[in-house]
Amino acid sequence: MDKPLSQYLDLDNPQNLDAYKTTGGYQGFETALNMQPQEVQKQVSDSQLKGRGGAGFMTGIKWSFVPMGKDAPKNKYLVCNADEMEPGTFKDRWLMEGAPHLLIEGMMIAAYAIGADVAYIFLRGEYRLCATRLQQAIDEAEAAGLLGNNINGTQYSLKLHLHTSAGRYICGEETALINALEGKRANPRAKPPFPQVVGLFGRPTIVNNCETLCNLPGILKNGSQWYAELSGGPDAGTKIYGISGRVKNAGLWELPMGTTARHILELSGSMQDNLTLRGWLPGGASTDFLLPEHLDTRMEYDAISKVGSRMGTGVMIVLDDKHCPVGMILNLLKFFAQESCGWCTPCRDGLPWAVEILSRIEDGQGTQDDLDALQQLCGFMWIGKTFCALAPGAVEPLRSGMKYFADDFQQHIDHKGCPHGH
Amino acid sequence: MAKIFIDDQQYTVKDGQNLLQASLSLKLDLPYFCWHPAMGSVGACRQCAMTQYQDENDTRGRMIVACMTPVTEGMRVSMQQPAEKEFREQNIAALMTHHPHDCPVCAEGGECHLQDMTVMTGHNERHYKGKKTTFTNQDLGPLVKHEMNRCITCYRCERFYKDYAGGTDLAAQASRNNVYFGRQSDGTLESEFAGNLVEVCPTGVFTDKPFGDHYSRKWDLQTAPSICQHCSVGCNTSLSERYGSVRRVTNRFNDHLNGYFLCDRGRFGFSFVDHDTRRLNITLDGQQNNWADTALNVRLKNKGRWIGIGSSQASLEDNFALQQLVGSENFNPGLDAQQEVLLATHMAILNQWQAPSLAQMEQADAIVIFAEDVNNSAPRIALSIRQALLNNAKVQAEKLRVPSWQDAAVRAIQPHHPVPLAIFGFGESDLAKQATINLVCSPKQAAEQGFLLASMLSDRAPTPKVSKASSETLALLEVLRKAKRPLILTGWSANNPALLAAASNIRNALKVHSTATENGQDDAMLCIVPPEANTLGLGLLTQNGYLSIDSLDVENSTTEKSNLLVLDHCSPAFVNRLSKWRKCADNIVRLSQLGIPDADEVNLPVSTFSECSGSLLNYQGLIQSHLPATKPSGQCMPGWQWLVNIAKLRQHSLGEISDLGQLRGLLNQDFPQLCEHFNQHHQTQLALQTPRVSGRTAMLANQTVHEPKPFSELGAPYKQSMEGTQVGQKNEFPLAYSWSPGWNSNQSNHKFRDEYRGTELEKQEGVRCIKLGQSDQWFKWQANWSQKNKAQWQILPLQKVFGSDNLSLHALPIAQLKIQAQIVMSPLDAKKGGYVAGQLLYCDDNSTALQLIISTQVPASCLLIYVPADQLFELQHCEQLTAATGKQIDEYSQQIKHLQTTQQTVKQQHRDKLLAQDQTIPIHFIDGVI
Amino acid sequence: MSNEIPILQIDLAKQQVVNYRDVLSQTEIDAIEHECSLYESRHAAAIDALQIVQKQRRWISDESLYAIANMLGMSATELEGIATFYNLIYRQPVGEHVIHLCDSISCWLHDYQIIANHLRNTLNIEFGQTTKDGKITLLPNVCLGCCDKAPALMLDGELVESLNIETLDNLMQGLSRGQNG
Ligand SMILES: Cc1cc2nc3c(=O)[nH]c(=O)nc-3n(C[C@H](O)[C@H](O)[C@H](O)COP(=O)(O)O)c2cc1C
Ligand code: SF4
Ligand code: FES
Repeated sequence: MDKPLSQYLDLDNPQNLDAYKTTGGYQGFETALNMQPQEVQKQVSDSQLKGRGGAGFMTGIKWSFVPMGKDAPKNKYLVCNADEMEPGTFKDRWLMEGAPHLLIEGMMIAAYAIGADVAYIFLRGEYRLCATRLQQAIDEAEAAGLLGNNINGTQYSLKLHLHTSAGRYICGEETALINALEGKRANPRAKPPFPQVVGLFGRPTIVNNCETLCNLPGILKNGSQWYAELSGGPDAGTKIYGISGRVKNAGLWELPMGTTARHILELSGSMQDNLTLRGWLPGGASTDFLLPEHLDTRMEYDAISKVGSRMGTGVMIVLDDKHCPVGMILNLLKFFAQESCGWCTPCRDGLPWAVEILSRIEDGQGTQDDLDALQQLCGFMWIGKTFCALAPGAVEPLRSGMKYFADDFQQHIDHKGCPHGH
Repeated sequence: MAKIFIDDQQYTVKDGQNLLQASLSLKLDLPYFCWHPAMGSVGACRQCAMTQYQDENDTRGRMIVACMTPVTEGMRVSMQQPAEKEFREQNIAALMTHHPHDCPVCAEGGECHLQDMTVMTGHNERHYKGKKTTFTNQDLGPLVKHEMNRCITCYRCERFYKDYAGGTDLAAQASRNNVYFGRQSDGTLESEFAGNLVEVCPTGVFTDKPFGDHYSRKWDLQTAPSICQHCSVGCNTSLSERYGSVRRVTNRFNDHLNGYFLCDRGRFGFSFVDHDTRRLNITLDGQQNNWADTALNVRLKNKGRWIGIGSSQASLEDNFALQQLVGSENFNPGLDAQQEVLLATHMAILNQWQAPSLAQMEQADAIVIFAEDVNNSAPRIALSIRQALLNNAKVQAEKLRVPSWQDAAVRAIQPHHPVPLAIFGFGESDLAKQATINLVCSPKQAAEQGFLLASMLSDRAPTPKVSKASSETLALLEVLRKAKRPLILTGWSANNPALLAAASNIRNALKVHSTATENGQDDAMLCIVPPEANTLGLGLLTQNGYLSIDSLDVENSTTEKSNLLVLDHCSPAFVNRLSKWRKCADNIVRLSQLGIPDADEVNLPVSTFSECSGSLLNYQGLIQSHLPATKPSGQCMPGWQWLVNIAKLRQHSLGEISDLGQLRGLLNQDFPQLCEHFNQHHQTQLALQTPRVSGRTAMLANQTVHEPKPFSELGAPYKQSMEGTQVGQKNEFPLAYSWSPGWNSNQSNHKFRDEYRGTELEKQEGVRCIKLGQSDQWFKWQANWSQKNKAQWQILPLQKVFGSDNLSLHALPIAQLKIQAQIVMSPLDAKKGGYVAGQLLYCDDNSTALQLIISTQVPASCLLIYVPADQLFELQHCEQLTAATGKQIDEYSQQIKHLQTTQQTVKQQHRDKLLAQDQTIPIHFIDGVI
Repeated sequence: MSNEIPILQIDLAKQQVVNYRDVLSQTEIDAIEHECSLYESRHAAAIDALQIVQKQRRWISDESLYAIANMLGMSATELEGIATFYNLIYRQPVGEHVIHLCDSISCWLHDYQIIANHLRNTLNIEFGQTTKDGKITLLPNVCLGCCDKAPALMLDGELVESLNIETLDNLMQGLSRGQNG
């Protein structure tokens, strides 16, 4: 099976420029450079590539809103979203540590396609090894004339800079990320205007996830048809899937889009001994719980939403029977409450409120009223009510958890304590 | 216009607005926090939730926040859906999880937007069981008090302070539910608009400190519509009193002028009425006296010639009465020689060009400022210009289909679509920082370039014989050729009539220029800033001649002695002038609000603006009247009343006047254009309190059960009442306070206005007193404007918000912020002379110690000098600078320290006085009850 | 020369203004200038500048904050608003070594609390505190992206994965060895 991403991957000793080139690297970019930017856009559209940052929006369509042509603003930006702070997600780090040149090539293709002359990698501050390896790769590419002015003798010039962030999950939200890159407080911005039109420094900007961008070299090199056929299902290409929690071998695998969750669980060697699966989050902390009965669901956008959750980042977290679901949800919500940017009321004040109630329940001080209050708070922070998607994301494990693990909640209240002894 | 359905009811609203604004203007009650009509929408608080339906068949709908949703034709929304009602209640509950519920000790109580909204949503029970966060508060200086625990994180303070007013020392800090609004560390807020935080904050985080030191509830205050006395803009204010003392000034909404905001000089300057040197008694030769005294009468009846000296600090009525009493030929406006020229030039220009309102200036798409530091001379104008700088970005936003009320978006694109701002002049200021074209030059050079510019725009404009156009002028020429609504602004502060002439010529040239273009539309604006609240009132009265200061100087030195009748003046410059004349005058009679009476004069105490009615002409020549909030103190009387009484003694016809209405009748005869204003003003029933407390007040219930009759000004043609004009009626005028049912906070102002400062503002903005002529007058460059001075240093005057207005320096909060005298020098000159920033210097043999500031905004061989208005400094140029000795520095520091301690004592005394007053509510405040 | 000129002791400027050249080292200045050149506006380099200075001085003191603000042409208050937003900027002194222990979901599922308690007991401090000798600061951190090798921590920027009491003790011993020489 083709593994267009992980074929380049070497975590201990990532390929340098030469090695990358000899295995076919930068061919995608060179192909792109021989095409018109709009043609590159079309090829990506045809490939049906969907963004891997969580929302699964079609990359080609997203690009098509960028003003092109002579009347378009002079400066445009491409930004790689490498902020990966979604708890339970570690796929972008894997790609950047293992194949830095793959990301850089992908960014070059994207930048060319939208006519951007400056690109930034927005990297979370904790990823020190990524930073070193990426900077090395950027330097190599610059020295080789792949970045800079008049690349390969064409009219096209591109600068690429690495920005290391100083923390905060909200920086991953694309408009907050733009504020953070501008050196401001990372509150999200209202849409419209969309970043494609008014983005970084007020100029047209595309923000794409790291994994999304890593898909581009393959698409350009092998064509959109090839890419679409990598998966058997409706979502094209391959995906970095993964799993963490109490499984035997947590990890990541590049698999065709639409692989079932069960298959991924099996790849990890299944649950650790003496543990049973109680539930799982399909793609990071901000996705709804699913149950063992949902394991045969194909990990693709529509299939997962049909069973009531979201694909998210595609990296699963599993809950075993020795850990308390209430405790798990409390841990998740504490994260979100702490990472709220403080801009809008429901998130800023609703999440800490939910944490306060959940803590009491977990400590055995909860009442029946508290359950109602939690239920209400779920509605209070739901989609459309908050400014950005952070709080609704936070609510997903809570509301599904309250549904699937209602008994556990009830026991906490009835027995005034955690049945799991937490 | 768009047809929309709210809860199945059909309405027609202006399109392009957001749904929140539309709903409020329909008088519907939709709660909100982060939105503000002047600051647009950001969608942070989520309080204004509504339901939107796709069409008639959609029964579920989805939640939207109204402030971020543009109204569109046929849109269907609901405010009454249980889900959204519940959401709105939850939202309040959530944002109050950390609110201390300390309403009893909060100065905002009873006029709190948070209280209003809480009642509106029906949130009545606290469910949150966790601990509340506690923040430490900061000392933000003498004007604004900080109580962070009350914060509901609506971000309005930051958006006003930073984005709207350009302040840099207040910002959001920390994050999540720990967001903190304050400075980096304790210290006085630097923006001269900081006081607006008091009204912008929907709860009690930022409160009025002088008021809060001894606050009253809104329902215990009686409020009169007033006009700010501290610069020529004439912002509309609400002046509130309790038990006969004035307690605070708040903004009084005026769509054309101040809108929602005042500057701090206006908000905190009013308390000069309580200054130590406030005149409360009649004095004769320095001794207390009374009206019936024969010696006094003899002095007032003197048969000799009477010369009247008017004042731009006094009302139009006072000046008019004086002019009537002494006759035009004996009426001197009380200005210096240069100012007389400025006034004449200014009036000539106003005859030709109507000055724009602030609302109009906010529509400008290019701005040129010639040597006028509006940031300091008329701060509210500078704030409006700041808003105009967003106009091109708004146009661009609309092109991108983003409504211009999407504040963050507009600000994001602003840097790429700036409104050109050209500054020709000197001195650092907020506007100078944002200039796209900046020529640092002397006023004379600025005027020359202005003349040149006019002649390049139109060949009909006269050319100055001098100098060549600077590159800045050429750049500006291009800007003006393209602009549709350029604003040209200059003023009196540089003391140079050539600037006014230059600005006027450019305005003329733009008219010629625009008639030559396709659409022929001439929307250029010309604004000239005079120094004081009623400078143009003098202009109106002196149009047909007056006694000039030169003749006054001559006549005072001749043998024939005359009597001087002087209206209110307390500036050191005037006192100095008067002391020269004093030697020759037979007899001096002064009508004063402030100051220590001299040993050889009759001094009659006049009511301040807080104690009587009066009218002022602002920079546009717009007449505005203020009404009293309290009775006159001591023996005070309105100035015109004293003059009428003197006229009676002397059997002058003015003595036949018996009340203000009759006096205004006389004014109307001379200036028929005033009729409209006075008629409207006089028919008003004026409610001093909100309808909520109307009449049935318990204010003095511990003294008497009789309902006290509201105080009415003696002889006033209007009636102060408890049931006067109510808000919400069209054309309510004057509006003393802000209130509407359910809305006790000043945010009630936000209702009923379908557009703020939009292009379709109601035309009716008041009466302009200076009539437009048809003349097409060009100014020629005058030879005396080119006079050179050979002195080493040329001195250019600088202004400061807290320091250049003498009246407000008598108000303690402003005095506490008074800036000491400064001298500003260019880095080059400083280096040459070996001067260091912070040093104390003296000019020639002048005794004013000036602290040195080094700035690039100083033209060559010039010194910018600022001296507080309560100090005398008359140098025009200087030969030599001397550094202060160590001893002088010590003395200077001692003085300032001493001043600060005294101010603390004064503050304490004032508070004690008010406290004592509370204990014994004086029964004499109750009219008609013994 | 200029030192002899007597200067008034009354504050000229109301805000905390320092000349950045008096505070920052040339290395820091150069690095910050380089960051400034990568963006359209100087302000945009604020976060980078804070990190550069923090790398040199471990934390951002008021003085450093004022200096950076001065260098970037912004107010101290604005910069404070930024510095206090991002959790990897320390506005309080930290020890020679900083431990960020992951407290997010995968580590929770691997009972990171055991590690946390062990750390608190060995170091005798709570989260957010620094040991008395000023050596070690203990901070919680959100998911470090090591979920496949939970529990994990970050020590002075280096990831340490698959923690257990034993590896933790070795790590701590390593630190104290370092401290002895
Ligand atoms: C709170 C929040 C955090 C996010 N964090 C990330 C992130 O760390 N990495 C990422 O790629 N996308 C993240 N996203 C999604 C981005 O907003 C955005 O959709 C994505 O970068 C788009 O890239 P794509 O189109 O390539 O998927 C986050 C979204 C939200 C609401
Ligand atoms: S939901 Fe609101 S407070 Fe939360 S992160 Fe988004 S904008 Fe900030
Ligand atoms: S007023 Fe609409 S969200 Fe705040």
